[in-house]
Amino acid sequence: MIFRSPLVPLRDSSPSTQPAGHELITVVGTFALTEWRALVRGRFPFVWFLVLPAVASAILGPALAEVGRGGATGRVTIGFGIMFCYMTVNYVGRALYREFDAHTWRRTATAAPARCGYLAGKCLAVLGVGIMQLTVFVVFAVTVLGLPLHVGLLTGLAQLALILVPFALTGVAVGALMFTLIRRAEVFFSLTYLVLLLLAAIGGALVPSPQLPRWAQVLGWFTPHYWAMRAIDQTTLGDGRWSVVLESSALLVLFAVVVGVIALARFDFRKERYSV
Amino acid sequence: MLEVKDLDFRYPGVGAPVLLGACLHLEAGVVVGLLGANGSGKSTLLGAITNTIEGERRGLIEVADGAVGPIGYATQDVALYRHLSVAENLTHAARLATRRWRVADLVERAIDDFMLGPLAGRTARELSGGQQRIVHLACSLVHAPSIRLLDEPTTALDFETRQVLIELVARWRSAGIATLVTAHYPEDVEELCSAITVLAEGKTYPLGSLREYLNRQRRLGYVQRLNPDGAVISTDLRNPLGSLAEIVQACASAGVDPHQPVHAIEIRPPALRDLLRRDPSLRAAVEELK
Repeated sequence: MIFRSPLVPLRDSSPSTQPAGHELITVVGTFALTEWRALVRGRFPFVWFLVLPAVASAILGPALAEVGRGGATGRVTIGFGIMFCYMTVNYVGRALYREFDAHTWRRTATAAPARCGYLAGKCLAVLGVGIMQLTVFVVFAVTVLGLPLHVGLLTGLAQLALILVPFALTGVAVGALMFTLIRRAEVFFSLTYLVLLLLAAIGGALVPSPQLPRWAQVLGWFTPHYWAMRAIDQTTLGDGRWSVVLESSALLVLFAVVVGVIALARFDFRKERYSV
Repeated sequence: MLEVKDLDFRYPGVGAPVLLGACLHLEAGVVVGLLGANGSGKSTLLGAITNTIEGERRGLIEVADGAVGPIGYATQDVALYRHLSVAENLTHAARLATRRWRVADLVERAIDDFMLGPLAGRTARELSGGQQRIVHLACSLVHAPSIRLLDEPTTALDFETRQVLIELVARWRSAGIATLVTAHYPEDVEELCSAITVLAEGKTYPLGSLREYLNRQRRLGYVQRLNPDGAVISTDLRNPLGSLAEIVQACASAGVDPHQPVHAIEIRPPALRDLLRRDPSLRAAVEELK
């Protein structure tokens, strides 16, 4: 039987003035803008990303610094930043489940935007907030808490950027993948807190990896947090070897790409989700 | 404009199909009213046409080449981002469905058409249920598609807003737009539509032009008799200008006790609801059209 699916959008009969690439950019921009407005107007996201880790590091920082290798409170502060940066997983979920909470998913599906454009747009604003949060914590740790950058300011910042951007990217990729696997929003959000705490703990974000039990150290190798903290430690407390930084950065990018591609492959507009 | 033939649809993990050979023909300038009971599959039919629901779908869905798309689909649930203003919601919807250079014009036109000027700057969460419904309709149709599917569009609308919608649908009809409207209530179909189709047990029963159908059927009059306890008994009357004897006979054939006092008799042309009741092939579907 012939089947012409209307999911493929009908072409606009008006003359086109834009190349195809523009459509993808429009989709990304449209969802990114809507999600950015949700984050800014919601205000509460900034409590999760900034206030909570700041309070936690102020209370627990000195105690945890005693356990730390370098004894630096700044390291613990960045560790809390790394841990709470994984609220991006939660907020990517909020962005994606929002379509079901607002009942807009069918209209979106009827318009049939490119899946990669849709996911990128949904994740972009959250990614931006994640990077901004890490930047704030790094700047605070370096300038106020005196975390050293032995390789010099510019080189240190370049190395940190090479680590923190891919790390934030892993968070949004994990969020997108979890969304494609979990139908119910309440299950998703419960699991994000588990992911946040567990990965930070075994990845050595709070207490340096060598201080953890052996089994936790082994498990930690499979977390983005371990590789991020390894490179950050190298840049700040270590001698800033590029090989370590680049190796960690490449692994983080690889992790984000693999997880993101799986999420993209699994994503289907027709699969209904249940918001809280 | 839109042709649906022998459409079957089954939700995943559910044995019985919801749609079983459903057919639909939407022409330019025609507003088809799709009537059906709760759970008859009206929303599923719309979801299957737009391919926005998960399930096993078989059949033929053909959209005319000249159609301006994508299909405008206003779902039963109000679909709005609550943190965005009305204008921002419209812009978001327009940007996804049309070329960027048309967005500003289309948004402006939708605000005018749906009379949303005073609401444009307010966020969706600040609107009443009826206002949200009309903004939802505007967002779904902001890109001026030539095929429009409206799932129970009159829900929660107050009288004035409902009139705005009725006038808009009439304008769409004149402009050659193909529209499908689902409704629980035949009254909505009578006001909005030019043709009717009934959906029951997964099948569609096209009744053709609403005007022709009503004219064909309106050779029958209609009589009502009020019981002492206030219940209304309805019977058909062959000739609305006929004799009292015919009215009495009609009441008797409807099982009315001739010794009970009659409080009132009203004779009026049958509404669509009454006509649908008469058609035995649709009785099962119509039973719940109340």
